[in-house]
Amino acid sequence: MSPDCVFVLDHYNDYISGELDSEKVARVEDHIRVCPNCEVFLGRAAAVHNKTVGLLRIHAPASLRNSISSLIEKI
Amino acid sequence: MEKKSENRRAFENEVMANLDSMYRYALHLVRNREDAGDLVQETCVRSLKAADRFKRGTNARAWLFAIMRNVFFNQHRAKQRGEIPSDWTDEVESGDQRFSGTVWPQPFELFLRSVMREDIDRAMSQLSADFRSVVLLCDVEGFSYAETAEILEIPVGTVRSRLHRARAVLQTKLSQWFSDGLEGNEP
Repeated sequence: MSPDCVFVLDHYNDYISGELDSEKVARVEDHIRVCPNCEVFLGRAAAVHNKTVGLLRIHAPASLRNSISSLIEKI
Repeated sequence: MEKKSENRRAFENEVMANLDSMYRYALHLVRNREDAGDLVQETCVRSLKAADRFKRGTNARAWLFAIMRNVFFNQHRAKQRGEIPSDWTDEVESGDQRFSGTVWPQPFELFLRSVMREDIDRAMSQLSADFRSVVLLCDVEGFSYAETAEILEIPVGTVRSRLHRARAVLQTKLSQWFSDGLEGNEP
């Protein structure tokens, strides 16, 4: 495992969260271009994240939306 | 009726724009749809009454979430429970119909959605409430670590560590959905 692999392992969550500065983002992205294992690892982590988020992102019922609209006019 | 200020109208728009997010967070906190609706309404009442303190351009969304959390802890602290309720499952099932990125034949897609949803529910239910909170706020709602820390009144480092551990659990529990024979390829 290279130092850049360790760097990806240490920072992939912050990378997915968009919490890395541009220099660190560049280091991650430069490395995954040349390291298939890290590319697969990061891709899988991002896939779990995206699918989970997609299925948890539900909507408020229309009845609640209507209630809040009415509430806003009263207060 | 008294004419509403531009500031007040702007805040009302923020409330309506964030209603889905508020409902998701409420559902996470109270664990059933009826109580979630009540919590959203009470949060709206409190925030609208304080709307004169809202300044356009500030983070109304984070403010709404912080108010909701305070309302919840004032009202429901004694009733806190530990497990994901069936209502959460029902909402996930009947809510967002997107299943981005892949096109499958309809019956097969529905089957996969159902099974995957069950696995996600099960994985989420195995997280503590503290961990679920950061997943919801950071991942589902897109708050930054700093914003999440402010809402939950915890250090940024705690947000980061909880999120990382929660994701590790989710990735382990959900790995079968993303397994491609490359286990052991972690760097």
